[in-house]
Amino acid sequence: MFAANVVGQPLALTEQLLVLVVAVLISIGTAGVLGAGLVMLTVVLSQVGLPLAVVGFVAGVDPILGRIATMNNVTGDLAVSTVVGKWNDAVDFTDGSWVR
Amino acid sequence: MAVGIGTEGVGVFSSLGALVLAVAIAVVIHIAFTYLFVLMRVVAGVSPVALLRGAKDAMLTAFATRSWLVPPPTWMAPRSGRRLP
Repeated sequence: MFAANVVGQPLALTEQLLVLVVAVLISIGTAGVLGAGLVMLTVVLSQVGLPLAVVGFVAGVDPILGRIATMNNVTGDLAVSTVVGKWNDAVDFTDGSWVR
Repeated sequence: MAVGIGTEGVGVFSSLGALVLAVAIAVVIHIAFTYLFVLMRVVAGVSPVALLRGAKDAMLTAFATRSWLVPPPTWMAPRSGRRLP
């Protein structure tokens, strides 16, 4: 949506759905390395006919977006670990220590 | 980028700010609803505040280092000081 706004080329609803599906599929197969999202962004942009120059704009704020996304990722890891620990009674949640 | 600003104007920067703000708000909603409410409260029955209190160091480390490999040592040592078995 940002790319479409920058270049003044609004996306139809079907194109937005296409972006959503392609982004989800690509994110599954993307390697967990820094900056990989920018490379994969080019694939999404080309799918809907947006210019790849937009990647240059996003690259300027990618470090900020990456920090936020990483924090989200780590919080998810912790949440799932907590659920597994609770189900297996592996953690004493009164003081946060390991049961065994 | 210079060409883009020359053709689109400095309004691009406000769009970039809006992009960052939208991502930040989306992440906050995602953490609050999916992790804290659904996973913690509904699925596990654990206080979301307890997760936030325990995850504070890991979240800050992840934000500061932009790496998901660095934070694990901060959460693998429980508050009691005991290490993983």
